[in-house]
Amino acid sequence: MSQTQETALECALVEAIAAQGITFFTGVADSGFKRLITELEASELDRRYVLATREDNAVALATGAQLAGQRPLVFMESSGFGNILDALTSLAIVYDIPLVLFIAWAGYQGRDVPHHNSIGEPLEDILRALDVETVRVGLEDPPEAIAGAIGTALRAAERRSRPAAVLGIPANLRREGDA
Amino acid sequence: MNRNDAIAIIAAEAETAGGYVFAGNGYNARALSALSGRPECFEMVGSMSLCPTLAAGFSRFTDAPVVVVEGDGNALMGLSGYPAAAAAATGTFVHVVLDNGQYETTGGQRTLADRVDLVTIARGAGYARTAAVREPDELRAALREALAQPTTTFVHLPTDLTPGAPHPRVPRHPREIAARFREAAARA
Repeated sequence: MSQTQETALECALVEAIAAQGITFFTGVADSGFKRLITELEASELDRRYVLATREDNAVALATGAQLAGQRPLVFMESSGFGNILDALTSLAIVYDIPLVLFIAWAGYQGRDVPHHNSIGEPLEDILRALDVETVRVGLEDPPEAIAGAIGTALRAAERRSRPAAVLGIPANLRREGDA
Repeated sequence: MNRNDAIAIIAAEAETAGGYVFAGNGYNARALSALSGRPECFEMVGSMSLCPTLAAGFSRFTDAPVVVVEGDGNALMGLSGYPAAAAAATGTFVHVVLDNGQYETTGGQRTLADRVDLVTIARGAGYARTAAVREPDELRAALREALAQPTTTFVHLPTDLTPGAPHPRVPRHPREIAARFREAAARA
């Protein structure tokens, strides 16, 4: 296999997400983003990827990039969602900033440890109350499915000039018959 | 030197350099709007502490200089953002803290700034250059030097309390601030 093919295979997820229109990546690590972050580190994205120190800083970095014409994706675990409430409401929402939040949904259906369940269970309702559209996907789904969900959220964000969210359900919390 | 003196100098030097200015929420944003008000100015109305990372995200995608001005209350709240801002900023990035030791916007309650060495923190957080200034001429000189360097500079400036009534709130909805700024950036 040539090196080009190898790189292409290694970065299939990031490339699929970029093909949906995302041009800037930032966020805070979670075990659910192992593949995404490995690929981001391996890709030659130059200015298009930067680490954040906290989730609210990631939303601010993404907002700044959007003001320069980028289409940003912010990844975080649901346990860090509380850190972005002010950035979301008093920055991204009031300034009409389309960006996509990709949230690894620990605590989904209350099937996780207590400190994840306490924010994970109301997460989708909180986003809805803030009028942030949500799209669900499995965190272990194929790259095309994850990128497709992100593309759907990006189009909703741009149509509505406000943030939209992709909720990534960890494989170990999924059960047959889930919505 | 008070806030109005400092922001007038910062806005003028940034304009001369063809740069953008981001101001943290509170009286600093109001002063920037009143004393400059160019479309290349971005006034924050909320999200206290996030001005440096907001500006750094923008700086990655512009060749022009980017200047941040925030107070010591914003700075102390946002210290976790300093490494992120220093890492993300690209090209000329100048971060100025106006330190009056107070949350002046909320009525003058004291901050912990007198116990904290912000210049050392900024250097430790990864800013390439730092400066501590007091007088208008020192501020001008520090800004001119920083605005000519393709790297990050942190500037600490102790300020006196600002006399008179504060400037009015920014007379634009935040969505208009963003739209106007975005258009100015797209034209450049």
